[in-house]
Amino acid sequence: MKGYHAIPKWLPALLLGLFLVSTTAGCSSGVHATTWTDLVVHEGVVYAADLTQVRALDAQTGQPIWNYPAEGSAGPFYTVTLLPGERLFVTSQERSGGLFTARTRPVIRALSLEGLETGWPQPFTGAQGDFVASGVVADDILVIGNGDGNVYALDVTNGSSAWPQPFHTQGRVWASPLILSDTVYIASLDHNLYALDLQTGAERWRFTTSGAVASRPLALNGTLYFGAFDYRLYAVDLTTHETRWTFQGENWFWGTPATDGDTIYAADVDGNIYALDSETGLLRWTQKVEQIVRLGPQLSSDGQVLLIGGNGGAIYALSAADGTPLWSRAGGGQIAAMVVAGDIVYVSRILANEHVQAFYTINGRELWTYPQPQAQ
Amino acid sequence: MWEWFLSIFVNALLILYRFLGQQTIIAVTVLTVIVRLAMMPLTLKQQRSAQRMQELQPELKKIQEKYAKDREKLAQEQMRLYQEAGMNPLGGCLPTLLQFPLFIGLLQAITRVMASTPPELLRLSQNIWSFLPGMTNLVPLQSRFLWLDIAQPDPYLILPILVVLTSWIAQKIMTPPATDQRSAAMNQQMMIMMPLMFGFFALSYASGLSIYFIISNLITILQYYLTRRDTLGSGKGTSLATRVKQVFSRQ
Repeated sequence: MKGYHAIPKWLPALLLGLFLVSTTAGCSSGVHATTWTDLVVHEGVVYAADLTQVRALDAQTGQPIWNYPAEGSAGPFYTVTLLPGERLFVTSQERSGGLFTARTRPVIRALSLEGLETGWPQPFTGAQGDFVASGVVADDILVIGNGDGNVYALDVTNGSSAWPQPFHTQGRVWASPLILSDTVYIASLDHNLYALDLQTGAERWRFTTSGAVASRPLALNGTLYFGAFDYRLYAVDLTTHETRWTFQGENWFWGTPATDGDTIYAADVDGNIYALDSETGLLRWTQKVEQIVRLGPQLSSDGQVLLIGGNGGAIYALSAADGTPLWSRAGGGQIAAMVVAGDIVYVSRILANEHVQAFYTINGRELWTYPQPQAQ
Repeated sequence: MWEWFLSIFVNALLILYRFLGQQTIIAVTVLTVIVRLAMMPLTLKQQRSAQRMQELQPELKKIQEKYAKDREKLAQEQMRLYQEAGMNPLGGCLPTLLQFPLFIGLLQAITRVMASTPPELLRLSQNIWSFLPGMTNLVPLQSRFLWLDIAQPDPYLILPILVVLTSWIAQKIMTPPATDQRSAAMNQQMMIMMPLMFGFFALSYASGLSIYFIISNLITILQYYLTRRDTLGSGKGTSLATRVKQVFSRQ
């Protein structure tokens, strides 16, 4: 024993360093996802941004149709935006530079539906932040928000800017836009929901809340429904731009609400699920699930089942009529995206071995998993 | 339990942010100062212990030479020396270990309120106390300050350089002179490694962390100067500039 010197002076500092590395950087291997991945389903094909590759999978079997890049890996890829029958627009955050000068740059690429880069002279690299949410295409214009606070509009045929300049907000734009007729509705973390001219990007009006807004609004019968981080769900009249009603939840509303045409279904991040009268905002029923819920709920195609994707990897199915739990499935990682098509719910996951999965909405039975367990 | 502990720092940062002009950099600076002041008794105890240990070094060296071939006797004699001096040989380490949760809590809270990515922001939703009115409306915090987006690493490398420099000075003044070659070599190694490690953090993570490192190092330097003046009996003629010169001249 050497008394005091048995514990070297540098040991606490070294422990602190190791602790810092493990707590701030995480100890995971592989691609470090800075946001969630996305997927879309169209005409029997699941298009998924799967971090290292974009994949097209057969919606019935989960068998790969193509990968982009076909060999090797790139990205990480986060969002996919579909122009049905024509193209797919994928965003990625690509790394350049060395250990001490490493920087990432956001990129948008146009792919054919066969997974080949097509059409654009070069990828779009004009943004400075992350593309967190997918865009929307209307009138051959791709509208997409970025973490640098801008909303970008690109000509889908060649990737050039469709507006004189991007529309700038004072906060990050982490929400997908909603396009109705010639107006783009898009939320910003600067507490505003903006209405912009689709052709020029000029602001038409804005609705200000007390909290950040990260969700795409839902439109129903002349009203926009969206939640904010001020614990409120808003119903805003599209004509008068006035609040029709608000509903107070117990924590932030992040995901886009769902509707069957009469009831608005929304989830706050504490896992409280609310069914509200779309006209009055009165609560019809409420239910709580065990996990944090960031995604908006999804209704099954028959409107009977409300599906909730938990941030802890579980999927919950509730009766849309009264909120009674129907089934639930535990899973790994976090549910990154959830889409219902027909009687199947498709989910993508991050931080899990299962990247994309399909389940029957009626009973939660698994249809397929990609990659298949034996292929992992 | 840890999340609850972390929430204290997160909400403290939000409160400071709210009442200090909604400037994240000021909130981080003030909270760092508060936490370092709160830890002052432990830090002083650690420094005094290190200093007394240094005073015992000649005696310890004699014992080590005398009982070089009898490790059991050496340990007994060392313990006797410590007891006679009224010292706990672990007295210098325990305060450091006790400070860890506070350091880690503060660091994680800074990272969390910066919330530069959506998953980080989602985690923040679980830390904000809903009974504090208006706190959630502050999110996301204003991250722009001069050239900096403090949720991102400094692209001009100014903060990482300051982190390395202040870490090196703090490390240098806090390291007592080595009594043997092995310790000297180890000290030298740590003197290089630790600032570089903190510099690497500064390059890789939010600039808010760099602010924390710099402020914390400056407090360490100031604290050392003040306590040295105190323990030396008077500060006459020992200005901070003189101390810094001494530090550099020890190279």
